[in-house]
Amino acid sequence: MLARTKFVMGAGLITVSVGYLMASGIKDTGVYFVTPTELAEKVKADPSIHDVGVRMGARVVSGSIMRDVADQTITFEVTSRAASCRMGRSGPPLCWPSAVPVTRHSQRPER
Amino acid sequence: MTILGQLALWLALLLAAWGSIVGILGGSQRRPELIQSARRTSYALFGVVSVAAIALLTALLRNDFNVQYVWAYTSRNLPTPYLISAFYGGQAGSLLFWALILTVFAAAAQWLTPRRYDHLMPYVAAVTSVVTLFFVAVVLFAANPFERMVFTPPDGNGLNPQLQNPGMVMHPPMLYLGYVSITIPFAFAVAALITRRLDTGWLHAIRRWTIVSWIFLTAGIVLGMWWAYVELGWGGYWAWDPVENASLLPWLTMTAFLHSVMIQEKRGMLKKWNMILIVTSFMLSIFGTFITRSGVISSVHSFAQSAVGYFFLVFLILSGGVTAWLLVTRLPDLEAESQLESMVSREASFLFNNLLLVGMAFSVLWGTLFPIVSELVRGTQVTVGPPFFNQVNIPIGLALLALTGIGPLIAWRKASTRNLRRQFTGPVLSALAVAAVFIAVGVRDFYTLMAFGLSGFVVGTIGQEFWRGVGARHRLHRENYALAFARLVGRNRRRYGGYVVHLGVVVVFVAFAGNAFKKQTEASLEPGESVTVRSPFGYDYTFTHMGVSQYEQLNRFVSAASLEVRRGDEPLGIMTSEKRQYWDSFKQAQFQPSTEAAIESGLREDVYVVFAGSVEGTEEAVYQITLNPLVWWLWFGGFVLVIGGAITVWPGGGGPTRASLRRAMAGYQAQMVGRDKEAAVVR
Repeated sequence: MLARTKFVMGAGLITVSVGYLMASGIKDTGVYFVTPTELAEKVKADPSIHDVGVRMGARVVSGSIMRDVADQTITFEVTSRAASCRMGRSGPPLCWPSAVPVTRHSQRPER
Repeated sequence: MTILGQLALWLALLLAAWGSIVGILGGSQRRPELIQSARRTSYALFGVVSVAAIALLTALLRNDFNVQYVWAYTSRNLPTPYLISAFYGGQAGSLLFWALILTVFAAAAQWLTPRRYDHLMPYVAAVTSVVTLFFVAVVLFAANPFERMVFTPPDGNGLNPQLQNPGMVMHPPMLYLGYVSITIPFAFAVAALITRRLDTGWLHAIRRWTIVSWIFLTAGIVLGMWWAYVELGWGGYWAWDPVENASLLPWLTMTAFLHSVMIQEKRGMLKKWNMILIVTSFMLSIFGTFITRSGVISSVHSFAQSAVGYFFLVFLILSGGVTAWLLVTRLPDLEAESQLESMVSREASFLFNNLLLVGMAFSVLWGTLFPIVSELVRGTQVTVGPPFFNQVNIPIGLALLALTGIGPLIAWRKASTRNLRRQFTGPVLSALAVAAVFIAVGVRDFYTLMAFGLSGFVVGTIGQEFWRGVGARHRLHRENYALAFARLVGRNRRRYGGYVVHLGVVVVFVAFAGNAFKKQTEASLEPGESVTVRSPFGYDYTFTHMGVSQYEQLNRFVSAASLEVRRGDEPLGIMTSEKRQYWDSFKQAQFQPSTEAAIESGLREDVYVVFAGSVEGTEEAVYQITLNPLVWWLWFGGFVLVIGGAITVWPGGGGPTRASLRRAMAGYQAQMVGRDKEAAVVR
């Protein structure tokens, strides 16, 4: 067998191995981060939801982090465009629709 | 001064545009006056951008808070070294800093490159001018550090406390130096493509630049790890953050290039591959900046979101498109001069090393971009974290470590069985001995055993190479061993400097393997109370809480908690970790409170203590205590990598001689003549 053919086989093996590692890595470790809106829906569906591990994709609201050193807990607010939630260990997350940003062109709402 | 800075930037914009045009015209029409003008434009750009940089530095040092950038990143009570580092602490300043370094490298390339590469230099000037043009345009139109405000605040916003660390003074410039210096090899590659002078000449011209760039990238990455370790307070040094990944990507492709370029020099193979690696490294350095600045991916390093990301995206697409077009149209000139003769050859091992490095780069890129890809494809953002990167990269890293030991043992072209037996016996025995020792002391983790065993293999290889080299000099030249060693390294700097780099790689891998034995605990202690932690080396560390003290220091209020530490019965001293609240000159709090870890570093392990806070204002303190084995070796390994790189790049010794260059050129000309004859026959 030509050295070139052997090399192509070796290269193929490496490529397949790296591809397999990547695919299995994504499958084993990929995590979906819920949005505040989805969390709000979950809380609405089951208000008793508590002490459940949740991975969340949102921005932490600046200045909202409260640390309780005694019981080593943190309470904070997270927000997306659609919804915001207050996260803590004392109860289920409290969610509400995010405030619509007031811009120069925004109309005053009708009463 | 800001007016001077603005003027300097506008002048730089015009000069960069001029340099781009005259560089290309001068090169294509071979007009000496235009070529000279392109060269001088590179020097002028350095001067003009320096003026802009000095203007910004002056504004920072004078606390000119009317300048928005100065207000945003400094305050009156900020120590001077951090006033200087605020230059690159924010978006706009760091882009100006990038442009400044680029002009330094562009001018140095024009100044230092020997005359024999004159045919490439106008195009090199053109490419560096185009890149400078882009950065100056971004600074002027998207992130201008000289913008003034309508009023002058009495004090500034201050510098983020996490950036107020000596590691942060050094880490960004090193990384920027690494990123920016890739532009020079890229410029030579583009010049070679335009001129179709694709012999090994351009490779000789960029050899030192690529290694210098690799050294800076390495130093930048290791300093970044050190900063994360001492400043972020989570007890680790690498979190596979997108921006960390972005710095690793060009490092991986540059490392691949530094190996594959040897195959082109020795055998005339891999011309296309090398070209692609250099271009990819440059693109990845720009891509890294795009990731940091655009906000497309969340990262601890993210700068404020702005239009800068779009500028980078457009530049990335344009430069990628032009280079790809050049590459495709020059493919016939990039044909290999010889073929792979055997799988058991150094070429083959280098090729596999390249595939693994590029595979690793691709997996890191894929993991980094996966949230975007998954959102585009499936509409939901799925994220992968450190477990993904570790799962994929640990096996690839170990395979690379094995090749680090195998490559130097195999001859070029084809190795005989006898030769292989002679070369491999020592290193394999060394690997088995190391693995046996670790099995005997109870290590059972497969990857850890592999890491230590393969490290033993690579050390065996390096030791054997040095031993044989020194022995040969000792016999042939009758030199004593010390002199033989010094001359061996001094006269073959590229080869033996490379081995020193490999030694650094081993040390870094050993430090990584130590991570498997990390121990972390949390304790809430009243004054006088103790907690004991057992280290993986079998020691019992006892931590006794001594109390919390509070005081003012420079520009901050400090709460410091102290622990008396003992290893067995031996007192190690007092470790004090701090919580800091930074304030401005009116004692108004700035930023969230930050943490300063206390670190007792040792050859075996680091004791890493973080004061998490006091319980309800009392002296009861909550601590996170981590025992980090072998971390010191990571910093030492980084140092060895840089020293090894410096040996290979040091003038003299390993560089191409005039005779070797003449031979290379003669070979190239003969090949061209042969090609012309073939073409004539076909006609």
